[in-house]
Amino acid sequence: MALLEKIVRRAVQSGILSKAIANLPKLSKLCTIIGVLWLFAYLPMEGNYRNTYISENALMPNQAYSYFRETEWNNVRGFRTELNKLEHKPAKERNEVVYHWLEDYGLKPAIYEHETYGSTLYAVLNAQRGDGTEAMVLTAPWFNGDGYFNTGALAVSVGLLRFFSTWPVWSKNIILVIPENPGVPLRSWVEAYHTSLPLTAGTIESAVVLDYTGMSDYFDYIDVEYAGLNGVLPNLDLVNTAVHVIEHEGMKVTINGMKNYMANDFEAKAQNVLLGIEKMAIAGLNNIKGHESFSGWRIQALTLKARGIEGPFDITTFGRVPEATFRSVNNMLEKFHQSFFFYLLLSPKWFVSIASYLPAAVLLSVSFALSALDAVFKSGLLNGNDGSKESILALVVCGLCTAFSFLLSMLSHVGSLHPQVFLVAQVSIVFSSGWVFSPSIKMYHCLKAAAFLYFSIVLTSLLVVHFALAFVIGILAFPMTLVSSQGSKLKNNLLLVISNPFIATFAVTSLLRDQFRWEIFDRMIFAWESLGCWTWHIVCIGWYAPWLVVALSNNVQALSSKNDEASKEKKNV
Amino acid sequence: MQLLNQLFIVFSVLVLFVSSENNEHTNNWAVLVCTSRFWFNYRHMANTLSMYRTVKRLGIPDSQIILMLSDDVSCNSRNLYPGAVFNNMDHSLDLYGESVEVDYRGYEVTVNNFIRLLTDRWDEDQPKNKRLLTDENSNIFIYMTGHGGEDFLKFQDAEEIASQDIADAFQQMHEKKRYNEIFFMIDTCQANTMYSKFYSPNILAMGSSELDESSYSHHSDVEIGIAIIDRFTFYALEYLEKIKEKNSNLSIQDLFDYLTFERVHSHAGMRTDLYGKNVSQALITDFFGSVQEFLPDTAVVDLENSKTVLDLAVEQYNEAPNPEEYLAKTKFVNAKSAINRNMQVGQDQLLLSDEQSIKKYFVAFFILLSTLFFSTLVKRVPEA
Repeated sequence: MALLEKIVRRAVQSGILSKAIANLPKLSKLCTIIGVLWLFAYLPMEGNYRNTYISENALMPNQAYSYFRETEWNNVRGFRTELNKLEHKPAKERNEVVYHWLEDYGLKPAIYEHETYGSTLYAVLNAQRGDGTEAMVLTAPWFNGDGYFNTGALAVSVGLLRFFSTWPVWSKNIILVIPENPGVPLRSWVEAYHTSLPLTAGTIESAVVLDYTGMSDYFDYIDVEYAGLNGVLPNLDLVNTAVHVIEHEGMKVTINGMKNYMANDFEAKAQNVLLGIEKMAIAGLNNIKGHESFSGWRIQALTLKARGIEGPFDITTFGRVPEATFRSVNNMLEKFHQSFFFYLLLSPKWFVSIASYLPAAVLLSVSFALSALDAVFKSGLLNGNDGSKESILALVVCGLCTAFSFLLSMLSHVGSLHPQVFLVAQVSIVFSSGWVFSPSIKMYHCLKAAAFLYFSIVLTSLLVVHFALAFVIGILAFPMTLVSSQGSKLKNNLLLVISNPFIATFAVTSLLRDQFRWEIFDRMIFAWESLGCWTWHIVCIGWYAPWLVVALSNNVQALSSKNDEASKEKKNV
Repeated sequence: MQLLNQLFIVFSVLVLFVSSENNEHTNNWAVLVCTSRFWFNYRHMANTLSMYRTVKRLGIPDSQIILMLSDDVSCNSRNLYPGAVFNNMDHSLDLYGESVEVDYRGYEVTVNNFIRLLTDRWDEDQPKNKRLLTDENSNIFIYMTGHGGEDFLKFQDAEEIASQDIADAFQQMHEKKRYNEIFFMIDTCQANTMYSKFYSPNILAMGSSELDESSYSHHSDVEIGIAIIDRFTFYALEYLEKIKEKNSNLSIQDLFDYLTFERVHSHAGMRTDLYGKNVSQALITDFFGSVQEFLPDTAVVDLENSKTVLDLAVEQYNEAPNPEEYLAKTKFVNAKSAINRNMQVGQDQLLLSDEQSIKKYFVAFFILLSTLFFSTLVKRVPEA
C-alpha cells in the first residue's frame, strides 16, 4: 500500500491527474481510435490471430471417405430435371411431389402449415441404430435468400436423403426441411418444431442450409455464412468442420461472401474482419440466408452457398460437403461444447477469440465513460457546488427520454413508419430542440454526463453477447461525444444529425447496399416481430434515448453564451 | 586352486538351482485392458481385441484371460460394420467375429476393479471367471491401452490410475506370491513413465513412448471413418504373427528390437532391471503362449499305490479293532470327516509338499555344507 500511496502522491505532484482531467475529451477520442485500430489494424497483423483447429475429438472430419459421387450423378440430375419443372407451380403442388418422393425412400414426411407463411415440407430419416434423441437438419429452401429458385440445392438435398437412407451409420436422426424461403417460413418451422409439431426427431444439434441456384452442373467455390441473429454464432468447431471438409475436396472456401477469395494478405484479413462484423451487426436486417432462422435454439447452423458456374467442381462435390459434415457431426457424443462460441474469422483458417477482440468494444465503451466523466467535471458538481437540483432534473429528463424511446419502439409496431417523414423528424428534433428545452450550463453538463454514462452501460452490457452490434453503434454514436458548448452551433447540430440512430442506420445500411434502404426501419421492426432480432429495440432504447438527451441539451450556448464567455474568462483568470 | 575349484562347484550348483526355479512357470495368464470409452477411441478397443486374439491363438485359454473393454464399439450405431471390429483397413480379420469373452465391460472397467483384480481382493460373491486366479508359478501378461500422460493412465474419462498404483499392486502380488513373472506392456502417450515406478522383482515392462512423447495411430479406415489401430500395437502384432508354433525361440528382446522409431514413430522403451535375467532369454511364448507340454515326473513311479501319511492314517484307522479308541489315542479328532472330504486332494497335496520340502532340504544342506567347508578353509589359510 505504501508503494501505491507513493505512486498516487507522485502522480498528484506531477500534475498528471489534473492534466488528464483537462484532456478527458482527447482521451476519449484516443480510446475510440485505438478501439477501431485494434480491430482492423492490430488483429490482422501476423501473430495476433491463430490457426483454427478442431477442438472436439469426436468430430474427426473427413476420416470417412465421402461416397456421394459418380453413382449419385444420375439421381441428382433426375431430381433436378423434375424439380425444375416445378418452379412456377404453386407451393402446395411442389411440396406434394417431393412429399411422395421422400415417402418412397422410406422417410417420414410431413407438411407444416402456417396461415401466413405458407407450408413447409419436412421429412425425418430415423437413425436405424441410434437412440433417436438427437437430430441433424439439412435445409434446402425452394427459393434462396435472394429469391432465386434453389434447383441445385433441392436436387442435392433429396439425393442426399435418399443416399443417407442407405447407410447404417447414423446415430442421430436426419431431418430434411424444405421451406418456401430461408426466412420467416423456416424460422416459423423451427419455432413450431420446438413447440407444436407432431412429428419431431429429438434435439437439433446442427443445421446446414444449402444454396445452389440454377441448373448448372458446375460451380467454382463455396461460401460459408454463419452469423446468426442477436450475435449468436455457431460453435467454431462446426464452421471449422465445414471449412475442413470443403478444402479436403480441393475447393476454395470463403466466409461471409468475401469477394476476393484468393487473397491472403493483411488487407484480406482486415476485410474479412470488417465483413464478419458487418454480417453480425446487420443479421436479420438483410435477406435471410437460412442459418439465422435457427438462432436462439442452441442449434449450430451455417449456410453453404455454391458460387460461380464455371467449375471445375461438379454438383455432387457440393453434396459431399454436407455428407462429410453430417458424418462428422454424427460422431459427436455430446453437444457442441468445445472450441469457441465467440470469435471473429480473419480467413476460413484463421480466427481470433473473444479475449483478443473484446478490448476493441471495451475501449469504445470506456470512451463514452470518459466523456461522461468529462461532463461531470465540467458541470462543477465535484467542486462543492450544489447541483442536486440539476442532477435530479437530468435524471428525470433521461428517464423521460428513455420512456419516449421505449414508446417509440413499441408504437412503431402499430402502423408502418413513413421513413422519409421519420428521418426529417429526427433532423428537426436537432434543430428545434432549443424551443422545447434550454438548460443552464450546469444542467447541460449533467445531462450529457447522464446520457454518456447510460450509453456506456448499454455498450458494456451488450459487448459480450453481441459484440458487433455494440462495436458498430459505439462508433456510429461516437460523434455525439464531440458536441461541445464551445463548438459552433452548426457543427454541433451536424454531429448530432450524423450520430442520430435512425439517420446513421439508414445511411450505413444504404451505403452497404449502394441504394437507399427506406424500408430499413420496417425491416428492423419486422425482424423483431417475426425473427426475434433485438436490433430495433437496442437502437431505440439503448441508443436513441441517450441521443435524445444530448440533442435536448444542445441548445445551451445560444441562451447562455455570455455566461459561457464569463466562465471562460474565469478559467483564464 | 583346490579352494577355488570347490567354491566354484558350490556356486554353480546354487546358481543352477536358483535359475531353474525361475523358469518354472506352470500356467499363463493375460490381463488385457482398454481404458478408453467412446466411439472415437475405436483403435483402443481394436488394440486390445487384437492382443486378445493373439494370446488366444498362442494358447492361453479364455478362462485365463481377463479382458476389460470399456466400450462396445462393435455395437455402436456409428459402426458401418455392426458387430465387427477391425484392426486393419483390409478387413481381413474380424476381431469380434468368434467367441469373445469380455470379463469387464463398460463402466465395470474402473481403477478400483483393476487393482482388485491384480491383488485379488474381492468379496466372496465375485465370480471366478472375473478373478485373476494366479499363483507363484504364473506368468502374467498385462496389456493396457488408452489415453495416458506422465505417470497416469485415464480410465473412462472419469478417473486415472497412477504409475505408483500399479507398482504397489504388483508389489502386493509379489508378496502374496501371485506371480512368477510379469510382462507389462502399455500403449499410451508417454507410456514409458507408467512402468518407471515398479519396484517388485521379476517384472519385465515395455512401453510405446517416452516422457513428453505421444503415441500415434497407425492408419485410418476410410469406410469406418476412424483410426483403427495404434502404431506400437500394430507392429508388436506384426511381429507376434511370426510366431506360428508354441516352441518358438523368439525372445522379448527380438520383439523390442522390431519396434524401432521408424516403425512406431515414438521411442518404445523396455525396463529390464527388475527382471533379473537376460531379456534375450525371455521367450515371447513365456508370456503370450500357454504351458502346454507336460513332462511325466519319473520320481513318483506309481501314484496309485504310493502311500502318504494320510493313507497310512486311513489304513490304521480302518484296521484298528476299535476305531473310536484309535481316534482318541491318535488325537485325529476330525480325521474321519477330513478323510472323506479331502481324500483325493489331500493325497496330491501331501505328495507335492513332500517333494518340495525334500528339494528345500537338499538346498539347505548344500548351503550349510559349503559354508562349513568355506569357513574351515578360511581358518586354515593363515596357518599355511
